[in-house]
Amino acid sequence: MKPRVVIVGGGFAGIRAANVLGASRRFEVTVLDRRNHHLFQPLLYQVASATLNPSDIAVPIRQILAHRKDIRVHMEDVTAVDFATREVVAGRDRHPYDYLVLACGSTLSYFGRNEWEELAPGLKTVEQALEIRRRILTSFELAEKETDVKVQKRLLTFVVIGGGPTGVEMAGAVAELANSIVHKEFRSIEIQTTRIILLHGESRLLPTFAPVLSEKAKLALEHIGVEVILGRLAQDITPQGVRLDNQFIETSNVFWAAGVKASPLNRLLGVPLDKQGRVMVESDLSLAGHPEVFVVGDQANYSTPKGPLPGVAPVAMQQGIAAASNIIRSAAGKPRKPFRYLDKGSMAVIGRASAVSEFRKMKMSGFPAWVMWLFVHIMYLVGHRNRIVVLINWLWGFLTFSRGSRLITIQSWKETDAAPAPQPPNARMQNAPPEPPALDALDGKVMRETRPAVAS
Amino acid sequence: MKPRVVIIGGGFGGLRAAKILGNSGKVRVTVLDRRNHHLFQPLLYQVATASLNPSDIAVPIRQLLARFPDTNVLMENVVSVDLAGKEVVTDSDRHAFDYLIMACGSTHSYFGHSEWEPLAPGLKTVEQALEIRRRILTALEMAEKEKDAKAQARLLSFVVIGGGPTGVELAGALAELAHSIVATEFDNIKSEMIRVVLVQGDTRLIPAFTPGLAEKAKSALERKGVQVEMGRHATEITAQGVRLGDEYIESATVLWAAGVKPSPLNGMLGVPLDKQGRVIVSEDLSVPGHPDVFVIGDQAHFETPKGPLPGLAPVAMQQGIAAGSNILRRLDQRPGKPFRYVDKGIMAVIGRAFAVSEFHGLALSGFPAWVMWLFVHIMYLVGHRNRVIVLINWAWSYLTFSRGARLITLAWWRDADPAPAARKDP
Repeated sequence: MKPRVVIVGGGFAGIRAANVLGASRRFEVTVLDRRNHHLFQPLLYQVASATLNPSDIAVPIRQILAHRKDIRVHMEDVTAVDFATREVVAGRDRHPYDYLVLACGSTLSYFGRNEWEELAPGLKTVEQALEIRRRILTSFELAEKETDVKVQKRLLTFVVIGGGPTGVEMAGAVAELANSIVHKEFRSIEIQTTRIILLHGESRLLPTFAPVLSEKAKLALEHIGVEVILGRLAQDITPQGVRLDNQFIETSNVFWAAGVKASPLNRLLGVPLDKQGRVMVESDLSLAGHPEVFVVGDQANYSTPKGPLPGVAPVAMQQGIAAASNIIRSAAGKPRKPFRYLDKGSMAVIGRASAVSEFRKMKMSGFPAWVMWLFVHIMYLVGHRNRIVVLINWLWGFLTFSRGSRLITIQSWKETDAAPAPQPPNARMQNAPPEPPALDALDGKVMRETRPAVAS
Repeated sequence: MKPRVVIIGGGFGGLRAAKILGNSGKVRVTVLDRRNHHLFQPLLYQVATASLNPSDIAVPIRQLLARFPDTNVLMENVVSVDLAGKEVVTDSDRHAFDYLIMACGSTHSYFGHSEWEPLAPGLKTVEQALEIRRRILTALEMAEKEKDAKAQARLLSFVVIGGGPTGVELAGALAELAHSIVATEFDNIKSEMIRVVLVQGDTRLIPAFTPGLAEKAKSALERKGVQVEMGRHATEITAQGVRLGDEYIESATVLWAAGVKPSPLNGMLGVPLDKQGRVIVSEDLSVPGHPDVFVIGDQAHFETPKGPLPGLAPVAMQQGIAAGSNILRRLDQRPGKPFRYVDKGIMAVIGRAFAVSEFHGLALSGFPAWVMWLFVHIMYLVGHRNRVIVLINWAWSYLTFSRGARLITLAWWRDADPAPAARKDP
């Protein structure tokens, strides 16, 4: 009987770990994920800004791993981990393991202001990206027919909170979207009325980059019409706008890129966590006291002399491979290797032919950085079909200044539900059910569930 | 001041009318639609079966009409039409018109059983297609981890109600999707366990086609593993399955392709309607007694010696052009021309490399019909980018037997909302 490995999460780390273990043919591997797809999160902002389709950047996990005969994929919501009996609990199912890899990633953190989520969606899932797209596009449509100048201004003001890579990319993409459609396709609104504001609490954008790149990113954003406000925090978010300490920005469109926290599963583990809720891991990525349990990616705090490793895709990928290799070593009776992060650099794109990137001491910006960004992202994207389709979409967008996915889709599908037109972009649908209904819609009946994080 | 034309609906009919009027430069046009996009409905079943992305077949209406300076597009929900006062009332505004074209299309009809809608989604909007995709893919995921054989069988039973072109295309595509991915990617479920049932009330499938083609379609479906139940009606749909008279099919996924009815707006107009609720129009497509109001497409009943014209894309497109032209003729003080439908034939596709088509007595089936289907659909698709992407997607699926858009997405987006896998089976 082969040893059993359970991997929780089919993100960057989980997929790499599964691939390494599956290729070894020495384990029975089960991959559990609540979603059926692996999502290429670095391009999610392009779904939100109507450039790409969700399935261009998301592939079913079972399709990615179909060629690995020892791997099973189950769409399950993990509710608990029982270290004593060595079982992962997912609702009524229990998955016993000999080795466990936890790669559950992170969710958005609103710093205790959970009521802000409804008003300021973030960018972690396909659904969130589509919600952001719906809000942006609906705002333009509503502004086109709005006769009250004040209301129109509010509809055409977009605030992105958080000046890290996601916030920078998001703000740049919204500005470019506005620039590409307002003049050409709208009759009653002007691009001058459109305001895109990037709000950042620190004194410079992209704090993990070199200061000179932060400055370049800021200039590039301002060049395409983004107002960058530095050193100011959002004090409050309401349906009318965002309050800063001495100013109120009227807006119907607030997007959140300010913070993430580790998977809520961590709190159920009963192990030491850091302030962000990440699990402290040993140098071989395992849990202290539980050498058979590995935690990788955004969910883990791996300390280095320069502080914990950041929650970026290369860290997750390398840790996934490292954890899997250590499992193979352990199973073969060999000593484990400590994890070493190989810095792949960091990059952020600002828009059309403009990006910043940093690799060790080498700093790039503008067109060369953008070409590199393009190359890296196409390379890491999963699936040849997706690479081709994304390339075509980008090429098309670049040449025609247009966006390919400008669909306003809504939350409900029933004909008796409200049409998309009447609702303000940041309000819940008027006639739609107030709470998520029919999750159990396979059986057509409304069912409410408690969140996995508060499970038994 | 140029006369004002209001067009309600940005579908096949409305779009053609808007283009011809916008191009003339003689009128100011306002296009009203509750959605921001024109949808190429003939390919919607491919979104539902994970072959295409929604935006491959849907384009913003304002993008399509951007080049006409006198044309305005507004995303508004029309609430009523005041024919006497010549005004269209929407949820947020009123639009006065000199001429009106109504092209609101149709919605699903559950034959008085509107409680069936949540149990059996149909295929008219992008959201419905995504809901169907979600249900199909989720059922397969749930079946993969289900240990109870009976519950598993129920999850693997798919019932499509309605054997017209939509039902036939949906059932064929569904069977192909399920069989192709189960064979390569699932461990606990086998291809033999999948059951796709197509229920048709009539005695043959696709009644608009010749009996020979209907028979060919039936055999093609059966070769793909679809069980065709003819002359049977759904008498009851519940969360557990479908009752067909004395037989009960346990199924977690029931899909509706059995009937449509015209836009509910018709009932508010106070003009003569046919039994299906369509507006009976004069031969120039205007409403009798209201020469400035035209009704076209699925919403209209246009009588011919062979009965009313069917609710097809070519009818809607030609009527859109005709209504637009008739308005222009009226501006020149010329009488409207009676509408003549040029029959473009009908076609239905049954999966990989098989279709049936009929064009003026010429019946085609199999590969040649499929190639023709492919050609026609790519040609009529809106936008070059979409044509390229759809072609690549089709070529890819054809060569690799895989589907490009197998995402399970939900209607809700907040982190606090339940995950798809949190669903439990009763």
